[in-house]
Amino acid sequence: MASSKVMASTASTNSDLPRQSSICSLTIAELQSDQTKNFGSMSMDDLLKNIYGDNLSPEGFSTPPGNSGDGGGGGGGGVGEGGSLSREGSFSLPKSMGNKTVDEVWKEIVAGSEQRAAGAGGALEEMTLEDFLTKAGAVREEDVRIQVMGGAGSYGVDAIMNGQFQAPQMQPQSVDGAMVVFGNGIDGRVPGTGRGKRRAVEEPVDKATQQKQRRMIKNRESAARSRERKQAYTVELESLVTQLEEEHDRLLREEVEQSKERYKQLMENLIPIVEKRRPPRVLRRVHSVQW
Amino acid sequence: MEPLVVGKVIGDVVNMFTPAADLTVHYGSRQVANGRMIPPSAAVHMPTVQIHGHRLSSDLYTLVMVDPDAPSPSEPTLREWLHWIVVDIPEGCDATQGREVVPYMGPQPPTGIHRYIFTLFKQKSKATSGASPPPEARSNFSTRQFAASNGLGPPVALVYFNSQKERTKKKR
Repeated sequence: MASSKVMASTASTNSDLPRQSSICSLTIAELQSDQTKNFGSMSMDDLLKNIYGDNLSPEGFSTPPGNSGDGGGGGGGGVGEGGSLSREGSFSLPKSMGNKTVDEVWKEIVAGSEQRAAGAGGALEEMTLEDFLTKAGAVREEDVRIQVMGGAGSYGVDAIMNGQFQAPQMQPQSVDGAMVVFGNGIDGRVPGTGRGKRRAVEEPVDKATQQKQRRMIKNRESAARSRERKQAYTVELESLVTQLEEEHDRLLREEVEQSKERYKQLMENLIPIVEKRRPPRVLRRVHSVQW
Repeated sequence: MEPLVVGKVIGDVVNMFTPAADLTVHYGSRQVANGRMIPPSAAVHMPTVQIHGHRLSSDLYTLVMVDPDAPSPSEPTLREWLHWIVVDIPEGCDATQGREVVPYMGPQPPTGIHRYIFTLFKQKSKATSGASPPPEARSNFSTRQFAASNGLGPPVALVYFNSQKERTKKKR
């Protein structure tokens, strides 16, 4: 991580500040004069050893094989490689922070930029500014956070996690800002390592896998659309069902009301009409003879 | 409303709006319900579009039917494909009572499952053909832009269905 590298540098700075600053000034001069460095000829290992001192020797120079390859890669990559080393170093020296000044941060960046001297020249400026900001912003956060946590495994993620826990207790305002920046730094780091790994000439194998990946992505999108469709229809049906249920209940109630009403009306209308009693049948002689 | 959001109709074709009119669309006996699948063969002819309301009201409505997934939902380069525009539909009436500005074209999805969206707008006044000329082409239409350039305001009703190419039963 960028900041972890800063951390380690800070640690080493305390012990061998003069040497480091001399190296840094050297690197600055070198940078200003000539991009394609003699540092390029010096191996990455040597460079890092010089900068970080002997503190790291037992920790291992797990010299990442991609290190020299990093020279040409993006800034994030180069810094990342260096960071992986420094990460281990920082844990051996947790407390020796010291106050980082902007100058020292800049020196770190310059030293880091040496590792990618062979690479993007113009992009160097933009990268360093971005890195500078992340580092400068993250540094304070780093100091605070490191003091609290002992040592963590995966530095980056845990750092953020713990930072978020610690943040409310510490200076909330500045920490949040730094957190954001730091987060960006980390985000910048991960794709950076991808960029850092030098993409060599595209082999046919890559093209095939690329095609496969493209197909996979398209398939994934299609599946997502299909799920959306399904969900949309389901939601629609659900709303239709509730709508229809309500209407159904309403209509039923209405029907009951109506029939009651009709019955009442009928009864009311019946009252005034009284069926006339038919007169009782009386037998009358009409055409018959009376015996 | 929710199916419109989930189905991404709100977003791709229109912005969020408040339904203010009662619109029903039927292809024969099939009612268009959001997200329902209707085969193209059932939608060859224009549907019966009913705007429920008071016939006495003088409100006039405009109906626009588009397909935002043309030619295929994964690559909608021709979004939106215009299928139908009817203006001056009186409230409480069927779309046949209005004036067809763009003749009805049934769904003919070449690839994938397309959404076909009916958007209803309330007109402020009778649509004069001079106000804005009818679209020249069906491709790359924009419902939003059409509404804006004709002063229609936000939609008052919307309903959509899905359709895909039918499998032709090949007789061997």
